[in-house]
Amino acid sequence: MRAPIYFLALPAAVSLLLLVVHREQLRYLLFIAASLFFAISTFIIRIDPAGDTVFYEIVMNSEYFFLGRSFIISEDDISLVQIVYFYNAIWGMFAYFFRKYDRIIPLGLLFSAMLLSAYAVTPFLYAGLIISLAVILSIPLLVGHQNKLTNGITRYLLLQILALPFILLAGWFLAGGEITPVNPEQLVQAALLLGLGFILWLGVFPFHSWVPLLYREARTINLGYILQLLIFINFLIVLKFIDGFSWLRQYTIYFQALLLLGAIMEVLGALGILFQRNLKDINAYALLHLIGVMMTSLGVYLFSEGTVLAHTFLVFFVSFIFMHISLEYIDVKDKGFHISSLAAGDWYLPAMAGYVYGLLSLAGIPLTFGFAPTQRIYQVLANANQYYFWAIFISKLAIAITSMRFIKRIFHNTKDFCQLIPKKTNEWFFVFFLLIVIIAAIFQNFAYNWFGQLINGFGNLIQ
Amino acid sequence: MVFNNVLIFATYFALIMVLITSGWRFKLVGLAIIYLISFIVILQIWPVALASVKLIAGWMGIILISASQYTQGDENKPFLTIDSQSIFRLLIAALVWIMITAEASAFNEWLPIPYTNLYLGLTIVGGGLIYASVNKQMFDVILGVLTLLAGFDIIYSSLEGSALVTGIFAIMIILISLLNSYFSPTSEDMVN
Repeated sequence: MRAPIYFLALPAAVSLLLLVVHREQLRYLLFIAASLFFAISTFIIRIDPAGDTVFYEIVMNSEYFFLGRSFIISEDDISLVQIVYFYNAIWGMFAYFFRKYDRIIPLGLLFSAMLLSAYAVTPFLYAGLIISLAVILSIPLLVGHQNKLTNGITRYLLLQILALPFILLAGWFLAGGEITPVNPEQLVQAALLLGLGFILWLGVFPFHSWVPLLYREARTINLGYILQLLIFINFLIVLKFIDGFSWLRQYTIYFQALLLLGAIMEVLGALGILFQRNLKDINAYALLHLIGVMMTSLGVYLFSEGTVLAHTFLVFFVSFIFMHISLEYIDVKDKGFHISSLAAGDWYLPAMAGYVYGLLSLAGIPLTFGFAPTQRIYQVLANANQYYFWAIFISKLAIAITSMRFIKRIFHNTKDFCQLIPKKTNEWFFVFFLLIVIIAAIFQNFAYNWFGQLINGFGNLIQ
Repeated sequence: MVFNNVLIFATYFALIMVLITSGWRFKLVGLAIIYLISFIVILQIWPVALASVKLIAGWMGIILISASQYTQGDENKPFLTIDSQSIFRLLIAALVWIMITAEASAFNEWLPIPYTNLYLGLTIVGGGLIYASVNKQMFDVILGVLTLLAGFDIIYSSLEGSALVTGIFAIMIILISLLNSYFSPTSEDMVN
């Protein structure tokens, strides 16, 4: 058996097969079961093992050739596969509680498999094509066909597709650079094309306008699922590009640009979080801030170890999941998303606690996952560049202030703290999940090590 | 030389049809002409079978869009309505095309492909980008994106001949066209 067939083709096939399951509840349960199966099976699969294997382990080949291109899932990529399929399972469980006309179940598995294929394909330039296909597939998953508002979705489509020409041209340049030595002029051109492609892909300033618009048009739980996976994989593809080309790794201007744009995104996102009054808008700006955090982590790579970036991925996952899923719990109480409409104090308290926990993690408050990577970035920037340090420090402060404002509002308006005790199954599930994450954040090593394995495959980058 | 000039003028004509005509039918005819031009250009570099994939995929996309636009019912719309919006689009497109004419030779230094291909490709990319950017409706944005991709296809096909890229591009064009069907109001929606 070949790992790419098992982890890419099989989930895609399962996803398409689930389309014919008409019973909604069964479809959701099968989706969750399939996601868990692919995630858990990674523990007994060994890819291209060097030595002997234990009797219960399944040996797989890392490479699969398809139409002259190869898809590679190596042992180093196993943690990525685990994270993606566990993420599908968690998201599927929450989606199960709030199911209504949801296309992510079952097409989410196909979307995930496409994104993993984009990561696994060699040569890199095909990643751009597969990502574009995934973006097109994501549109029906995000919004219904009767959606009247399409400003955000059209911009999302246009800007994501616009990235494709830049990535393909950069791929062509880079392929040329592998054969013949790259002259400085070509270096600038390739880096510029690549940078433009990534900026468009990631929704970096000034091409970020689709993010807040999209949050007003699409359902939050779907949007959270799509954007988190898309941006996560896009970042890993950026890392793969940088890891694959030595001249790009030694091109300091590239990292300085990442740092600058990262700082801009962090400040922009934090200002949005501070001044917006709608929880959906706050989520949109939180996404922009998180993109900035990941860019900054990559930008400080020259002065720091690569694990900072892996740890910021963890912050991205935890904050984002809570900030999006919480809104579903608030929404079912018919309270809308504007802060003033939440003032009555009868919202579902654990959901608000989860939302605030996501913000606190984003602000890098102690005992959250955000603390360690934020401190490391502060430490590096305090020595390397004071301007960036203060910009990022102030942005984190703005998020912390917003979190405190939420906490104050919750305390002022909640008359009965017995609300914290869950009553329904979906509430129990949320509280249980929140408690696990809080405990895991206090004893951080397990989660940090897990996400730290994400960069194991980038041998050149972590040297 | 004469043939190249004919292609360039035909491209301008098709792009103007996409940019400023009133009904969706004329716009789609403009896009169909662009696909035909791109086929003729790519045919000079690639084998007929591979080049025709692009033409067939493009025209299939246009048929899919037409099928979904059919319920919109704009049969009575004139070919051209001169209003401020269309004048603005035409002027901004003219500005971009002047810039492309001035800078195409500079681009040609780092993209070693035939000048006509690069010029046509950039012109179509510019037109598509303008059209997609100044409109909000899904149909218009999809039309702009398809035009943009058709232009880029001319440039990229001249750089690299890959069957897999051609195949994925064809799938992408059809999927984007299907998106238009997804967002088009059904006859039931129109009644409601």
